[in-house]
Amino acid sequence: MIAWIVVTTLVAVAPVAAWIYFRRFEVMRPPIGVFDWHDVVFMLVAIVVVPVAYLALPRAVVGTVLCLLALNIFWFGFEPVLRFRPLIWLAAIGLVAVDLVVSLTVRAGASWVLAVNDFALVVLAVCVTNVLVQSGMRARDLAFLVSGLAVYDVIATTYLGFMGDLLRRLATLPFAPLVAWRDGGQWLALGLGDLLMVVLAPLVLRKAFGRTAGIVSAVTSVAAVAGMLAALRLGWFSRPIPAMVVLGPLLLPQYAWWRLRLGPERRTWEYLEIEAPVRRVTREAVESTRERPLLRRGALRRGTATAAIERR
Amino acid sequence: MIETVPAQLRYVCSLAFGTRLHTRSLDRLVTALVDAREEFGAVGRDAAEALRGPVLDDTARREVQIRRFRKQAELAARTPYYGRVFAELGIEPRKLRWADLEALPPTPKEMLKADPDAFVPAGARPAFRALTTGTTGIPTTVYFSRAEFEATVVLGAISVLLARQVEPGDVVQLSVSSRALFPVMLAAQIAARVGAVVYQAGFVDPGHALALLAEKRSLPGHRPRANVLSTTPSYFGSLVERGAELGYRPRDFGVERIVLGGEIATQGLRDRATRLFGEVEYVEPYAATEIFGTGALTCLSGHLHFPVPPGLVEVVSLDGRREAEPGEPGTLVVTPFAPYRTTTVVLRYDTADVVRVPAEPPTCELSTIPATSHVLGKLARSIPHSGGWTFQRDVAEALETLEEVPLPARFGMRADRADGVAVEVVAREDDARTRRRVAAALERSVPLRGLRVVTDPASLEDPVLLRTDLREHSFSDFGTARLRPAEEAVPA
Repeated sequence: MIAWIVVTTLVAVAPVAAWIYFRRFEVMRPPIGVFDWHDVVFMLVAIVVVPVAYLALPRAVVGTVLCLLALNIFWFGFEPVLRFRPLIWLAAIGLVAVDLVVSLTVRAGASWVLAVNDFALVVLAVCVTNVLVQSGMRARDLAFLVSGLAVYDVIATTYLGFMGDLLRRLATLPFAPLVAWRDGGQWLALGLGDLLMVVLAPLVLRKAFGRTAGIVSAVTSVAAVAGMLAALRLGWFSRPIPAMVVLGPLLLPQYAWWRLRLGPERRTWEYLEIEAPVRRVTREAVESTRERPLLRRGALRRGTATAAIERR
Repeated sequence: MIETVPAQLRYVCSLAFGTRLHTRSLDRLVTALVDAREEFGAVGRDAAEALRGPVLDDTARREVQIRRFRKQAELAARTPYYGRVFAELGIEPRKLRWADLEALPPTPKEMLKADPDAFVPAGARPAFRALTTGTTGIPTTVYFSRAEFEATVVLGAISVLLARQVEPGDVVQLSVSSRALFPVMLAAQIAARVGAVVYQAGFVDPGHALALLAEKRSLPGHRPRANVLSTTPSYFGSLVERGAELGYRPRDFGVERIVLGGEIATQGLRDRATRLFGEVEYVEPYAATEIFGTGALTCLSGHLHFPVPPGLVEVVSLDGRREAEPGEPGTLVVTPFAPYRTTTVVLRYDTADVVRVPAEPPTCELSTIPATSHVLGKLARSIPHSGGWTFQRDVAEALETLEEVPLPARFGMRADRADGVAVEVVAREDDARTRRRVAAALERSVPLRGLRVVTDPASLEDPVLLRTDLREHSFSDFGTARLRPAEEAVPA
C-alpha cells in the first residue's frame, strides 16, 4: 500500500509541478525551427534504438551517458529559475552528484536510493516536458507520438519482454529510468517514458486547447496510472503492463474531441496572448537579471512571453 | 527542429570553405524560420546570431577574410581581366597576403561596364544578364547563374525574415524600375517564398501607384491592403508630393514598412511622408547589382553593417591611396566572395559610393558587425573644398526638410571658388523668402558660395539624376485608354 501511495503521489506531483513551471518560466528554445513531426519521428527512432544500445554497451558507459544527459536537461530546466550561471551549474551538478553518490555508495534498492532517484526523475520530467512543449510541440504531434509509443510498448514490453530486461539492467545505475518504491520486498514502479507522457500531455493540451483540456488530461492520465499500479499491486497482472497501451487510447479521443469541438489548435503566441501568465519569467527577464551581480538581482520582473512582446 | 541541424551545418560549411550553397538546405532553414514565426509570433533574436555565425575579433576576422579572398582570387584568375592583372602584377592568388591585397588596384566601374564578359571565369554558367538602371550613364552588366539566383532567393528570404522586412501574410508593392528585371525577380521570389503576396507596380505615374497602395483586397490570410512598399527614395518623394496634391491621408493606406534603397533617403523625406502614410517603419538596406550578395543591414543608429561572410568590404580614402581612418570619408570597395558570387567575379570593386568610417566603435544592436555611415553620395558628385568635402547627402538632407522644395529635391551642385559650393535647386516659388529659407537650411551643413533657385526642373544646369525620372508609361498616360471602373460594362 505504501509503495502504491508513494509512486502514485510522485506521478500526481510531476504534472502539477510541470504545469506550474510551464506557467511561470520560459525555457531557452532552439533559435531556429519548431518541434514538429520530424522530431517525433526522430524520437520514435531513438526510443527504438537507444534501449538496444543501453543493453549492448558496458554498464559504466550507460551510467555515464545517463548522468550527462541528466546534467544537460537539468541545466536547461534550472536556467530560467536560477538565472545565474554558477548557481545553475551548482544545482545541476549537485543533483547529478547526489544521485550518483547515493546509487554508488548505498545498497541497491535502499529507500534512500529510491527516494533520491524518484525525486531526480520527477525534476527531469518537469524539465524535459517543458523544453518539448515550449519548443512548440503540438497536440497533433503528441497524438502521433503516443500512437507510435503504444504500438512500440506492446511489442517491446509484452511480446519481446525487452523492456523488462532493460529495466533490470538499468535499475541499479544512477538515473535508473524508474519511479519506484519497495514495500514488503515487493517493487512497484512506473517507467520514465510513461511518466513523461503523463506530464507532457496536460501541458501540450493546455497550450493547444486551454486549461480544461489540460486538467482533463492530467486527471485521466494520473488516474489511469494509479489504476494500473493498483492492479499490479493487487496481483491482477503477473507481468509488466505496457502503460502506453492505456495512456495512448486515453489521449487520442481527447485530442479528437478538443479538435472537433474547438477547431484548430492554438499556437504558442495565441496561448500566451489569450492566457497571459502573470509574473512569467521571460527570456528577457532572465537575460537582464543575469547581467547584474548576484546580490543585486532583485525580484523577478513581471512580464509576458518574449514572443508576445516582440509581436507588439 | 531536428531537420534544421544538418541544414545549418551545411550552410556553415559552405561559408567556411566557400563551397557551393546547397539551396535545399537553405530552403529548409526558411521553412524553419516561417514555422517558428507561425508558432511563436516572431523569429527569435538568437536565430540571427545562429545564422550569422560567431562574432570574430579583428585578428580572426582578418584571417578569415584573407583566406576567402585568396579563394576568390583563384577563381578570378580564371577570368580574362584578372588573369591579365595578376600576370602584370606578378601576384600568385594562392599565396596572396594582405600586402598583396592592398597592392591590388581597385576595379573601377568603367572596366566592368566596358567588358563585362572579361569578368566571367572559365567554367561559369551564366544564365541571367542583369543590367543596372544606373543614374551614372551606360548600364553596367553583371551575369548570374541559375544556382546563384536560387541561392540568393533563399538567402534573401532568410534575411528579410530575420530583419522582419517582409513576413508571411504581407502584401508587398514593388515600386521600382521594371527594367531592373533581376532585382525585381529576386524581390518577387523572396517575398513569395516568405509567404507574402507581391506585385510589381513599376515607376508608373505616382497617382496610379498611390491608388494601388490604397486599394482594398480580400485575400485570405493576407493583409487587406499593401502593407510593405519597396521603392527608391526619389520615387517615394514623388508619391509623397502627389499624395498631398490628391488629398490622401494615412487612413487611406495600410502601409507599415517602407523599404528604401538605391539612392539617398533623407530624414526630411521621412518626416514629410508621415503626413501621407503616418508612422511607419523604414528599412534602408544597401545593395547594388555589381556587388550583389554583399549588402548591408541598417541598425537603429543609422549605420550600415556589412556581415563578414559574404565579402570583404573596405573603405578606401577618397584619394584612393589608403584605408580610411576612423571619422574619415572614403569609398566602399567591395569583394563579394564565393559561394555568394561565382559568375561575374570582381575583386576590390570600387562602388564609388562614399561613406564615413565611424569615429568611435559603434555601440548599437549590430555592433559586432563591421559598420560604416549611410551612403553620403557618389564620389563623382562629391565636392572637395578648403573646409573638407561636401556630399550629395549634405545638400539633400538640407533641402528635403523644406516645404518650399517639392519632393524629391531636384538640385545640382558644383565647386565654387576653392572654398565652397554653389547649389541650384528647384523650389515651388522663386521669391526672396524661399531663397532666404533655402540658403539658411543649406548653410547649416554646406559652405554655400552661390545659390540659384528655379521653379522648372528643366532649368537646372547640372542636376543630380533621380531614378523617379525613369518613368514608365501606361495607356492611360497617352490618352488612348482610360482606367475603367470595375462596375462599368465593357462594350462588346
